[in-house]
Amino acid sequence: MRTWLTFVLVSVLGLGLLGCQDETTPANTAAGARLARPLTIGVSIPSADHGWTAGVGYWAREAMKMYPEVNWVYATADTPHKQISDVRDMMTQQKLDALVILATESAPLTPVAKEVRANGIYIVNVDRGFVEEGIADVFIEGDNEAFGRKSAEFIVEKLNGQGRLVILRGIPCTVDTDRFEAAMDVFRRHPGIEVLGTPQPAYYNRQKGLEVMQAQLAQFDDIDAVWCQDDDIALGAEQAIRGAQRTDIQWILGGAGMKEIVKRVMEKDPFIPADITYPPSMIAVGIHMAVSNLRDGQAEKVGQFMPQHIKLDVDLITPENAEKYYYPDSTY
Amino acid sequence: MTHRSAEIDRPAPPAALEWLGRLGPLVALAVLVALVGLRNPRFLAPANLLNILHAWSFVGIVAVGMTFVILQGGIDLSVGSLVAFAGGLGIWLMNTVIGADAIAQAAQAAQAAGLEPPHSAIRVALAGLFASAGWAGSEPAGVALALAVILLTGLAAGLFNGLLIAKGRVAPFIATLGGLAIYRSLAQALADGGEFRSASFEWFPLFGGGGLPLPLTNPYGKPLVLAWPVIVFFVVAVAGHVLLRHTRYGRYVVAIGANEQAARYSAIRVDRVRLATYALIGGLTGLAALLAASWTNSVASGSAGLMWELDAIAAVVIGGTRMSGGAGRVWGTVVGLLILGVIGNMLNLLQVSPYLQGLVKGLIIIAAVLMQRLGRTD
Repeated sequence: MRTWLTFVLVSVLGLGLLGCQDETTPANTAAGARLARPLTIGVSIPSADHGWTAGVGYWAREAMKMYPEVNWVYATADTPHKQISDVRDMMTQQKLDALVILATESAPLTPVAKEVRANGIYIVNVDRGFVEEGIADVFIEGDNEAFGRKSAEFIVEKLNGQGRLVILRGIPCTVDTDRFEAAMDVFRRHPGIEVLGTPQPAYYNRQKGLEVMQAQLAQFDDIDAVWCQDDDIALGAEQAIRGAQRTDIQWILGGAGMKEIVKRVMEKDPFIPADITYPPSMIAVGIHMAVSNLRDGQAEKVGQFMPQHIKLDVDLITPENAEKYYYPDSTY
Repeated sequence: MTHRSAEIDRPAPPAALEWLGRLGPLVALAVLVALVGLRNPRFLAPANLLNILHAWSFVGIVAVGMTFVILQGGIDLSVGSLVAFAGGLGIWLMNTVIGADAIAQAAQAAQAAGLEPPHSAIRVALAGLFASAGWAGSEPAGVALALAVILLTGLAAGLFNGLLIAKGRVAPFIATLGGLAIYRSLAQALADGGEFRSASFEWFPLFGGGGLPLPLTNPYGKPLVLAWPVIVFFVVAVAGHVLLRHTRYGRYVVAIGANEQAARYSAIRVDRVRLATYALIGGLTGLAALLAASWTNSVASGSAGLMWELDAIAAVVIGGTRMSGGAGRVWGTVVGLLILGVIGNMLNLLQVSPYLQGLVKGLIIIAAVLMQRLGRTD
C-alpha cells in the first residue's frame, strides 16, 4: 500500500515536470497575424532508426521552425501501429487543419489516412504512398525506380559491363523493392555483370551493413564492386572490407546523399566514386506546401492547379557536381 | 510457502489492507487519468478515450493470455512475431483465392513466353485447388478462409510451443524465443520482405475497422463507433477473469505457478494444463492478429506485432501479476494495459519529445515491478 502511494507520488511529480515542458510548445500567438486564422498541422514521421530518417527529422523540425505561427503537432513512430495511434491521437486531441505524413509503411497507414480524409483534413503524403488513389491531396515522393536504374547504369558503365557484384538491400519495403527491381532490369540486359548470391537486407543501417558484408566476404572471392543502395550501409560495408583486408573490391556505391559520403566523392576518393541523391529534405517540401496551400483559406483555389503527385528526380553525384549536393549544416 | 498454498486452496477475501494494496494499479490509473484530464481536458474527450482503447485492444487480447502463461510460471515471447505470420498467411491465402484466376493466367503466360514464373509453384497449385473448389474470385470465400486460417495458425503455434515446453522440457523463454525468430522470418519470407496487402476491400476490413455506432461525434462532427476489437477485448477479459477465478483450470494454473512440485503431488496433470495455457495464448494471439490485420487491411511483415510480446508482458507485470507466477489477476492486466495506453496518449497530448516516450514507459514498468517487490515484504 505504502509503495503504491509512492507510485502515485512519482506519477504526480513526473506529470508536473511534463507539464512544465508543455508550456514551451509553440502556440499560436500574435505572430498568427500573417494567417487568416491560426493553422493546426500534424507532422507524423518514422523515428530516426537510420541516418536518412534522422535527416527527415532534422528537416521536419527546420521546416516547422520557419512557421512559428502554426500550431505544430509532431510525432515520430517506430512501427505502423504506433504511427496509426499517433495520427489518431493528434486528430482527436487537436482540431487538425492538415496532416503531413511520411508513412513507416504504405499499406497499414492507408485505412487511417482514409479516416483523416473523411474528417476533412488536408493530407500531404511524403515518400511512401498510400495504396489507394485519391486519399492524399498532395503526394511527394522520390523516384525510386530512377534511383535503382541510375545506380545500376553507373555500375555497369564503371565496370565496363564485366564484373562480379555484391548487392546489399535495404529495409524490406516498397522503396527497396522498387529500387532493386529497377536495378535488376538493367543488370539483366548486361549479362557480363554477375550478381553474387541472393542479395540480403541490411536495413539501411551501418551495423547491419557491416554484418551482412562480412558474410558476403566470407562466401565470395574476387568481388569487383558492391552496391549498397544507402550510405549508412555503405559505411558498414566499407568497414567490413577494410577489416578483412580485401583488395579485390575496388569501389562501392551507396546512396541518399549523406554529407560525409558526398564530401568523399567531392575529394575524389577512389573507393567512393559516386553517390545518388534521395534528399530527406523532401519532408520540408511537404510541410512548406501544407502551410502555403492552406494559408489565407484558399486551399480549394490552390487545388485547381496544384499537382497531386510530385515525383522528385534523383541525381547521380560525381566529383564534378558534388559541391552542389553538400550541406555541411545538415545532420545527414 | 504457506502463504502461497493458502491462496490456491482459498482465493477468499484477503485482509482489507491487502485488498487496498491490490487496488494499487487501479488507484495509479485513476490518479493518472485525473491528473492528465485536469492538465488538459481534451484528454477526457470520448474520441480520445476510444482511441486509447482501440489502439491497445489488440495487445490487450494477447495480454489476457499472457496473464495465464506468466501465472503458471512461463513466458511467451513468440506472440508478436506470430501476429505477423498468422495475419500474413491469412491475407496471402485470401488473396490467392480472390486472385486465383489471375495467378493461373500469369503462370501460363510466363510459361508460354519462357519467362520466370511470377508466383511460386505452391501458390499456383493452391490457386488451381481453390479454382476447382469453385472459390476463385469470391471475396466472401477468401475472407472466410483467412478468418479460419489466422485463428487456427495462432492456435497451432500455441500448441506447438506448449508441446515443446510441456513434453520437450524446453525452457519457455528459449522455446518461445525460437518462435519469435521463426514466425517473423516466415512472415518476411512469405511476403518477400514487403507487406501483405489485402485484396478484399469490402469484407475483410470490417472486423477491425467497424463497430457499434455511438450517439457521439468527434471534433469534426463525424459519428464515433465502439470498435469491434474493443468489444472483443472486453469479452476476452471478462471470460479470462471467470476462467481464472471460477474454474478448476484457473486454480490449476495458479497452483502450478506457485509450486509445480506440490501441484504434481496433488495429482494435477501439469503437462496438460501447461499445453492448454500455451494453446490459449496462441488462440488469443490469432484473434488479435485477425483484428489487427483487418484494421490495417494489410500486414507489414517486418513490423506488424513488433514488440507486442513485451507490451503484453509489461501490462501483466504492471497489473500486479508476479513475474515468477502463482499470483495475479486478469483485471490487473487490463488496468496495466490502460496505464500503458494512457501514458502513450498523454505523452502525445503534452507533445513530449517522441524520443523521451520510451524513457517514461520504461520507468513506469520498472517502478511497478520494484513496488511489487517492496510490497511483498509488507
